[in-house]
Amino acid sequence: MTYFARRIGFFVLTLWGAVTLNFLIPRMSAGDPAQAILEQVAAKDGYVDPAQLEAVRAMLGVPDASLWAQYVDYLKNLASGNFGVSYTYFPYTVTDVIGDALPWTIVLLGTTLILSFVIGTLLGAWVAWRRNTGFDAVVTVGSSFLGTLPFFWLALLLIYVFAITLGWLPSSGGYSGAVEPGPSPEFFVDAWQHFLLPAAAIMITGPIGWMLGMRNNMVASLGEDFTRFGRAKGLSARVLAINYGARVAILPNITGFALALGGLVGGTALVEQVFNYPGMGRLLLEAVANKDFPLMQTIFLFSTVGVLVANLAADLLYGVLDPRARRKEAA
Amino acid sequence: MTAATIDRRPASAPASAPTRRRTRALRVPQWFDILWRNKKARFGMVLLALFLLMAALAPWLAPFDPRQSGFPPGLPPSSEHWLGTTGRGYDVASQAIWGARTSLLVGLVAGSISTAIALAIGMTAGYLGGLTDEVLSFLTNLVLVVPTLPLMVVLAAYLPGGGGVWMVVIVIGITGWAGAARNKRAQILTLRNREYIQGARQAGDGIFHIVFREIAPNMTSLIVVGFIAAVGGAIGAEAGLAFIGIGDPETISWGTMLYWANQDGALLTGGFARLVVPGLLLALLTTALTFINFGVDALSNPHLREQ
Amino acid sequence: MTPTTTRRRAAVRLVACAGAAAVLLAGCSTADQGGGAGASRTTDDGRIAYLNLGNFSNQSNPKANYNPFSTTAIGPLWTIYDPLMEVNKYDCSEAPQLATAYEWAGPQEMRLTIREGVTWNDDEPFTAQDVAYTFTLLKDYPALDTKGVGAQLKSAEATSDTEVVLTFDSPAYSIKDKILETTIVPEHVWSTAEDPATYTAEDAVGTGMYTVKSLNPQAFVVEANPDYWQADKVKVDELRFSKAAEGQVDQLRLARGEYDHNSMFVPDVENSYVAKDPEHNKYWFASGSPISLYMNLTEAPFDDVAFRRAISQAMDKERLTQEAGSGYVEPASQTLLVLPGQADWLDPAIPDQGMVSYDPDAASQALTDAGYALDADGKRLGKDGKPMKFTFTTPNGWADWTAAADSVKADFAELGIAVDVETPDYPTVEQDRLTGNYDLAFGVRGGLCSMYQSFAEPLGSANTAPVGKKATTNEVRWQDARTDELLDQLEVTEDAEDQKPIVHELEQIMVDQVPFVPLWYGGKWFEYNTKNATGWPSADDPYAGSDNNRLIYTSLVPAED
Repeated sequence: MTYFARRIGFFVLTLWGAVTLNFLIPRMSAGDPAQAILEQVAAKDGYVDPAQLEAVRAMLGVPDASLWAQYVDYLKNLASGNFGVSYTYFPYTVTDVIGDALPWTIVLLGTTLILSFVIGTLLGAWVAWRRNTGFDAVVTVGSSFLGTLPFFWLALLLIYVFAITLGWLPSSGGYSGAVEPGPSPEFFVDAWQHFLLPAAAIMITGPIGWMLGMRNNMVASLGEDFTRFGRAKGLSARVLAINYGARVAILPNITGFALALGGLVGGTALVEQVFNYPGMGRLLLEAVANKDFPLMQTIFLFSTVGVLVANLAADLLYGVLDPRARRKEAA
Repeated sequence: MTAATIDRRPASAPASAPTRRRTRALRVPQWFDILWRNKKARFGMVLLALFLLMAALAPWLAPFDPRQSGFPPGLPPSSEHWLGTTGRGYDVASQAIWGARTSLLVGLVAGSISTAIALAIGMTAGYLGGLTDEVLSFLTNLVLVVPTLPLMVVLAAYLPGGGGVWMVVIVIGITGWAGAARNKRAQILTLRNREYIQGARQAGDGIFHIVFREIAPNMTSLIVVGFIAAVGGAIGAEAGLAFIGIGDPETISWGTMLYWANQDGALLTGGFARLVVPGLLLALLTTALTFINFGVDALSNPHLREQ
Repeated sequence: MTPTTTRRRAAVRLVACAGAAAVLLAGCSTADQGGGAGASRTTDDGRIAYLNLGNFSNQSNPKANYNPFSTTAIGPLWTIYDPLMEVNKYDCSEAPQLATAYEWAGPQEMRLTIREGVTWNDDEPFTAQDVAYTFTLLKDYPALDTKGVGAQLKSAEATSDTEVVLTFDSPAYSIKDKILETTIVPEHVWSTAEDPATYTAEDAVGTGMYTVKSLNPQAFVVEANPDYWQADKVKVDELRFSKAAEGQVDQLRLARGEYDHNSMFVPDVENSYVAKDPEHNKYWFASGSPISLYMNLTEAPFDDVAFRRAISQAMDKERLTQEAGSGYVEPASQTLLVLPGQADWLDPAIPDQGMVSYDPDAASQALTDAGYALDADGKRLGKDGKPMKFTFTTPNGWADWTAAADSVKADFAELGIAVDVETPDYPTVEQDRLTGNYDLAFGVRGGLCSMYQSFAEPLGSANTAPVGKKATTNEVRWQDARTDELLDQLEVTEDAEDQKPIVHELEQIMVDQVPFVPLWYGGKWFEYNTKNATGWPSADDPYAGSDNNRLIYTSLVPAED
């Protein structure tokens, strides 16, 4: 019981720490949000009318209360679920803006994460079973190399081949403007087409980490004494592989999966940047560039809370799955 | 085959592992021998050595000064410009060769910084336990939960822009230690309760002696694997940051080469060399490091070794 | 082995099915929008069915906001709303829109005659009352006052259905263009808004040539307004704006003719754009406001006029335009005028139209003569005997400005002066420049139709502030009694011919005393495709500036097939 109680206590404390960190980090970057918004205007022909700068400042009402007062306000607002109004998308609220982006991230990253995990783990188990054969060597070496290719570089090449040269798939965006977003079959088809390239780009390198991890874990567990003992007892190779090898090896992977699941709320900025995918990652980069404190703060918050919750879930799950962990804590 | 003992003494304690020593003029340390015999690690070491050579000999290898502009922009590969020129008139081959320096430097320094922090925090937390462990674990978790890329972007915006490469190095170093710290803490936790450590404690050995003389050597391969992984990660992180325009785009590195290739429309104008080459080089360098890690893994786990 | 194998086989099958489905679906549905570059767009009644334009918002996921005074609004609101008059950005002439004429009854009073027979797109009649309401709105809500007109306004009154009198607190000749360009919004809709400063005007009621057809984060479509007051001149039925893709991909689309009109920056325009379809892919990069080298005048040696003069001779502007602007942009005149568009205003007494010729040797000599000697290592020494070294700050990510900074750095290096180029992010650079925390920086001032604004912003001492405080627009911190005198005079001179002698003297100050060094004219990127429509402005036919969209879209006609 203490195991679970401690885990939950830890969670609450870390949550407070993360919330405070999230308040401080966006404010560390100096510079005026009004200027940041006007940079887009300035980038056209360089000239910015000073009157417009004043107008934007008046519009945003940038706070200049003391840091502590802002912090207290921030906590109060959080408690009531008020995340403020975005600077970039003024006058829309942060909740509005994030609500638009979150589903896209969850669909893209959630699907690819689950697929990567399943494919990677299965592949890893199979490769570990065939360890030290030519097959193992080829797969391990090949996938290691593949995994080191810079993701954005792969993505650009994919775009060039499939979108630009062959024209099979759209080159960017989450959906084309031709179909109004909404629960219609045409829209789903449209969104599906836009989903394929980013998903493919992620799936090329995605499963590799899981695969190599699973393989290593399983090779280790297959080499453990208890496995040898099982073999000596006369258990079949298949039973050994599943019960003694895979089931033990998969535990660390599950924790990793839970963490990754939590991390996806923050989006993958690089993926979404290259493909211009309308998810949380791209939104965060935009918020940082525009010094959009309310938006930045809330995205950070969502993503850290996501990871924390996933962490807690993983720890609790681990406690359930692995009795050693529970006993260790009590010791 | 070495005796299969129940006592799982870590393999780097040399006493129990008999190896064939080839008579050579040069006596190589045992770890190098084991690494070299692992085909993957051998490949990795050779590749890494090539990169190090390329970086070291850059002034002599590169046909031009990488900052020398004024060449006609967007040229395809030719005998004069082996890989063509960039959209702003720089020689691609020279930039690629000199870029090795930046990538290696950033990787090594940032990797060292994050490994050092991970070691310090992880080992202290794991060994001392109690309140120190709680506090340090809390700190580690905190850093783990903050999304890394956005944190790097924000930090890069906060630190003065004049920092350039060094700012990127510091940013990567201080954001990348959390995962490794956790690993080291976990490892120390398992080692802490081994009999020989308990014996040392009972014998009255001081903390530093125990940590550095008894525990650390048994963790060597873990630390080395972590360090090499950190270096690889830092190299990749630098490329990613440079690609989205963080840091100083004027530095010569493979990441900034990709950034400029994107800006200058390399795909449009057929500048494949300057888009493909930096990416490949990044991949190869990281691969070299990964393969070396395979070998180091084998050092610690005899089951993974090749005979 | 068997369970893993069967599971793997199942997985493989799943992947294969998904892949096949993907390819099938990709084939049968709407692919990349903007297709149809092949089919003719001319309709049976001699109109153009639609044209594809570029980006319509700076946000990555645009949300509906049709408030023309909001900086976070949708971009192309020129389609929905009209101003009083359209100021031609090329020659500064005025084309009447909602106002047919105006006159000054003294420097603080402007009388406007409003056009009759105009209706709002919700069928309500447009009157002078709407004009008065709009100006009063700008005065009451500073958040909406993006041109600064409301701040100076005392009152706005509609004296009849077609007459408006605007009264100002101070002489208003100098903000005439800003007044005329004010977009007019409907009183009957806006007076119902709870807070105009946060109003998004979802109904988009305006007098403009188009009305909103649809908006989603990827595309914004407008259709022709049949009740527009010059509807007969508008020949394009629909305008389709689409979200820009990542840099290179967008450029590729442009080259393939998927955009009929765009204003993106294209590296190597001849090869990557024109060459792909020389018959139809055209561009015109007119000169905009000059981008100048700012030297912080509060620091030595920048406060020494001899030093500044020498620097102006040492700048290789030709090379800079090659490296920074790919040769698309032109070197700038020291007079601060945009040539050749504003050539009318040139002082004939100034040689070479104020184009300072590049002469590094003369510059070097001049520096030595002024007391800045070279030491044995070739480093230029300041009057304090130490080698000179400065920092140049330019915004991160603005590649052309960074390249230009490098060019300037090389020019300084020729003279033996070390310069360090730093690239913090844009807001930091702007902040530093406004507060005077810089050695060298770029600044964009001048080149406007209002001569007063062009010169007062960078040179008026009222617009500056001590180092550490934010200046409004005079970031170099130029403070000169004669300049201020001239500017005061200029402010109260209405007639262009009367303004000329004053402007001439201001040009003399620029050339003689070199408060800063205009380097190159910012390029107004403008690409157009003649496959579906002709009648675009160009270098050969500059009937309008490339950003005068209202003038352009009332001049376009279907292309001859």
